[in-house]
Amino acid sequence: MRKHIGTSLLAVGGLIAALTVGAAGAWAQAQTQPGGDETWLHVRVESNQGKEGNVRVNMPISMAEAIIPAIHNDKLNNGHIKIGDLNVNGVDVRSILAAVRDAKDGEFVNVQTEDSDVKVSKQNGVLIVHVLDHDKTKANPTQVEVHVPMAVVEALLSTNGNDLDVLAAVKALAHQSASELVSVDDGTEHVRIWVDTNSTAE
Amino acid sequence: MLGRIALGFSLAAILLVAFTLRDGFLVVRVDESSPETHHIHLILPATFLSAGLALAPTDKLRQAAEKAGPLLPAVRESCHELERSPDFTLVDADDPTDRVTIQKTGRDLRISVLSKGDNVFVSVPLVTIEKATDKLQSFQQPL
Repeated sequence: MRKHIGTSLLAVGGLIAALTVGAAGAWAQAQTQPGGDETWLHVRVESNQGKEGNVRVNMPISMAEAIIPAIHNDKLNNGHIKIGDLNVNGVDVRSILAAVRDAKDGEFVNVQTEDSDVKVSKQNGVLIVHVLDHDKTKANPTQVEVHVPMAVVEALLSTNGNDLDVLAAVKALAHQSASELVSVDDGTEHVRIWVDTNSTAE
Repeated sequence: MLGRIALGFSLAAILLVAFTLRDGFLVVRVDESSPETHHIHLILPATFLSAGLALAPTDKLRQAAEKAGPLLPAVRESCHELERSPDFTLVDADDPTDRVTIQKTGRDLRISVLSKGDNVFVSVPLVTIEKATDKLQSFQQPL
């Protein structure tokens, strides 16, 4: 009888221990969740007529930082994208961007043709590219706005060879305040890419 | 003798409870309304899934590892980071007839697909996906 009581006590004690271990694990997991100072990358694709549907993607930048080095394929390897040549038609892209970085704020490029307008400028350390495609064969004009902090551009070009350091760019992006990076509107769909400290794309 | 058997069963039950608490549950719900009505609701301790992987034929696992290839490290890192993240919606895509959401909730990754009256919901503990990728990665040739 005493043996049965001992066995039962042992079983109950073990069950309590298991429950304690489980609860402690859940509590520890909850404690490791970071606060609200994380930078989030948001992508939103919205159909203007509501027919094609909408896509919303939210991702903590720290997640992108962890995933990118783990991708190894032909194009992206160890956080670097291999590109053909940073010397396009005799123009060294790296040198031009270095010149833009060191230049004062202003408009550097303004090309206006019958079908499109292209403007490249720099304001408060942000490289701004504006493209308006008003090709008459298309039903709606396409407007593209790209805002890239110079710190991100520099990080992207921080390698010596003909590759882009995507990982460094993402890390640089993590230190930026809330800002819109890309906006594309072709009359039927609106694409937005931006960073902020919210986990939802509101 | 009876006491020892009881002790054995009790210890086995304790271990099962401990592993189940640690690994969580795999939840699958499929509700089809057309052309026929089907309801499949499955709740399994994720420990069973890990045990199933341990018992799976190695040639099948090797084939799966080869197909998944370079994606496995990225999947593993994604799960690791998701475990550390607060709850959030990773993907929310909809059109007039369908809606797909992928959410991180607690320690689980939840995928929900609603399509023309048919609903599919899958909840997988992140730790289970990590274990599965670890298992598959062990069959990959080193780079």
